[in-house]
Amino acid sequence: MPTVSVRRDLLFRALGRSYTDEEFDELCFEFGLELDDITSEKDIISKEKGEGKAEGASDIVLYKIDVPANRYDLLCLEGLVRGLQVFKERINLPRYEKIIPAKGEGQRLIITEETAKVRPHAVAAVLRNITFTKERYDSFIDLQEKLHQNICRRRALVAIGTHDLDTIAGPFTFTAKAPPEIKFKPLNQSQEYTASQMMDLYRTDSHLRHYLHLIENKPLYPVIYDNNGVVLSMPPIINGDHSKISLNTRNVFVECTGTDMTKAKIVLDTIVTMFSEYCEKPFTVEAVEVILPNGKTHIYPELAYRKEKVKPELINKKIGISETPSSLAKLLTRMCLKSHVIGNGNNIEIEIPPTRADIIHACDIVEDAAIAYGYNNIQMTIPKTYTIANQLPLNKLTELLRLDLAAAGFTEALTFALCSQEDIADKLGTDISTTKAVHVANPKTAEFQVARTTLLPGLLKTIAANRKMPLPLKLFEISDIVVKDPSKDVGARNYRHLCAIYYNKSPGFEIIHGLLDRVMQLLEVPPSEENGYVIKATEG
Amino acid sequence: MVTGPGIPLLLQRLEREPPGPGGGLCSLEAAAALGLDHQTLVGAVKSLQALGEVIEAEARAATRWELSAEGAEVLRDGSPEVRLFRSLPADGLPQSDAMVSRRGPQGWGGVHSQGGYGSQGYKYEWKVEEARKNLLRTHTTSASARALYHLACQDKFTPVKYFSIDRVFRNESLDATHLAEFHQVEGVVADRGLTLGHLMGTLRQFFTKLGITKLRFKPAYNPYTEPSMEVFSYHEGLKKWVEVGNSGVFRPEMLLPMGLPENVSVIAWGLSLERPTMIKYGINNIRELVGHRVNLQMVYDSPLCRLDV
Repeated sequence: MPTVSVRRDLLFRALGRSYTDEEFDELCFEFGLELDDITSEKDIISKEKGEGKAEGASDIVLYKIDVPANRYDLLCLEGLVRGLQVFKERINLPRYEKIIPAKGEGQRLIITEETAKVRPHAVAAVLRNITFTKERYDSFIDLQEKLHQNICRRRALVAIGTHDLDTIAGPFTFTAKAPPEIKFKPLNQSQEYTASQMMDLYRTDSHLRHYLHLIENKPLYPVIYDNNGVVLSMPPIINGDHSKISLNTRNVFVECTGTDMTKAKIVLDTIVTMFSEYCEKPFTVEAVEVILPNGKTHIYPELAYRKEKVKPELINKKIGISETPSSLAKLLTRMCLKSHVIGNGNNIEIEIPPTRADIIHACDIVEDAAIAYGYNNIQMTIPKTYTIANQLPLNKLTELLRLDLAAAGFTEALTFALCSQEDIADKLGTDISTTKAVHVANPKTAEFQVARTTLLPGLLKTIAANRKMPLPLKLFEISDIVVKDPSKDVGARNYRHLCAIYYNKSPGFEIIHGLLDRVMQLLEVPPSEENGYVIKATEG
Repeated sequence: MVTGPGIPLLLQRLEREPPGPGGGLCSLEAAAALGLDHQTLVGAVKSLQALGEVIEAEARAATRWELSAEGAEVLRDGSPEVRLFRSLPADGLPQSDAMVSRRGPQGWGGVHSQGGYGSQGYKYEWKVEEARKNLLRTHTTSASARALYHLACQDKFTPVKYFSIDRVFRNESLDATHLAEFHQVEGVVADRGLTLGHLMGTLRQFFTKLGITKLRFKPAYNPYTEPSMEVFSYHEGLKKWVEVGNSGVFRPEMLLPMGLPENVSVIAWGLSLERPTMIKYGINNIRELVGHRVNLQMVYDSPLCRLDV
């Protein structure tokens, strides 16, 4: 769940009123957000680096709000406020408008074919005559970072670059070049570097080193130039210092490049819808023409509004309420899905704005109606489903055996299914290759290398951890072990095993033998070579 | 004297053949040529053999390959691999979708990348290789999905209520309250016309049985359920609302490719076993509850677990 950090004072100012922490918590709960933490910069530094380092840090109260992973429109203060205000019916959702400049006057972004193998897609837009304050600027940068971490999958799918349009000149070219051929002064550096040098430079950078692998081993690196050869950025690593935006920036060129076109479009739409609020003509975005290698052109941002029709009965039935069509339309409008009743009152037409890319099916609309209605206002009912219940036979048998093993004086243990290779091989005197064990490809520690093929190591470890207990220790476990099985679609199979262990000053073979006999008796397996069980001596 | 149907015909036919190992007749061909049932001819052969040196017969086994129904399908439409290849769009599909269902006309591949069943789809490249990667399950919902698929494969849909209590695995940082493996409890109801109200009602009854009565529901997000709800209960000791479970109605993009009828809804909920247990018994470190480091004295001394008291 992404967490958005907002200043409480700015939040309340934008919402037009103050709330107590409890009241705001309640509002979040209703809407589907979670007020995870109330803190301040000072608190954060205190916790991370100690009280001493926190001297002089800001005391301003910060709200850390958890936002659903599919709501890209709530990832910044601007979006949260807009969503909450519409929810509370204090404002109508603004209408986002794409302004297409007259022919020859708009910005153009040309994509060359070299990008195809490394980062094929790009979209762009312009925010005209925008006014930044420190808070808006910080929020703008934060939103990009949030988007990078979430929908962009840590820049792998999409990377965002924002540039001061007045420092550069179109048309812009998005191409890919060999690393030594790319040379520019990256953001916040004092000299120029080639791309190859930048790879080394950022290897130790705590933030950027995580993205190097995305392009490092490619023959060509992506790069965006303006008409004069100025480098705007080398996505997904770093922007150029030349075009960086500042508090005084009035016109912003936003570009999103990536390997996933759908997400690039959503990311661009999100940034411009959120921040066009601060343009001279609020909620307007200037379009950019993108020219593909094959000559085709597209206008971005898409800012598409989509219309869907949903029957009121469907919404009522899926939730378990009975609201009138106009009432449902009102509920949906409160969720930023502008709706009205059509066709004799038996249908609802819903307009899905570009900020709601998460609406992909009628069920998403149903959920929004339910949220606006208030989940806790829905009447709770029991399904009339009539079924005859049964326990899984294997589990039923396991439960029965457990009771009888306890009755025999043994104590149950619940041990880990994952263990080290030695646990199931070396320590038991066998070789790992004979065990047909399933190996974990990315174990965090040696304790998760394999899935157990026998319950014995777990029980032995339990005894080891309980050495100080009075003797004897009599333990058992009835649980699954895992072995490779090529005949299954997942390549592995579980088997239910029973294991019992007796630990005392004397080995107590007769105790275990007796337990075995008792278990066989319970399972109706006679002591017989032909149709029952026998014990035989074995090696190892 | 040996008599029997076909014997004269057979002898006449044999006479025309050159003697020795090169000549002779194949019983199948002869039967067809003489207009006799093959078994009748075999009977004749055996009777003649019984006489001794009249004829020599050698039993031979012949196998014939015949196309099964599946084979005929492959001949007509191509192998499953070819059909999958042909059904993918030019730039491919994300893996988790390409699991072609024999039931749904589109399968998950189509639904996830292009939409279908009334959905816009997720519009990304679904790849079979990605879907096939094995992992230790991070939630028991994956097992529930399999169970629902088996349900969908039935000839006729019957409503069901399933539950499971089993182990799950998470590769996350470990601390006092997090282990790599723990247990989840999951419940699923599949029937026609289930509503969110039904899910809430079921949860109310379920948690009442665990001794938890004060419940509140919060909108949440799961990729596979919509609507989704987090379930909170009021903890008298901690004096705050704590999350006790997650729930939702399964998305059509998940159910319809399985072949479940369109008007069937599936409501489901889940919670972990360890967390409520730790809260109830005031245990701070999960290792005291699960694994080999559990103190056996605690096991010896624990009272009966009576939830409805």
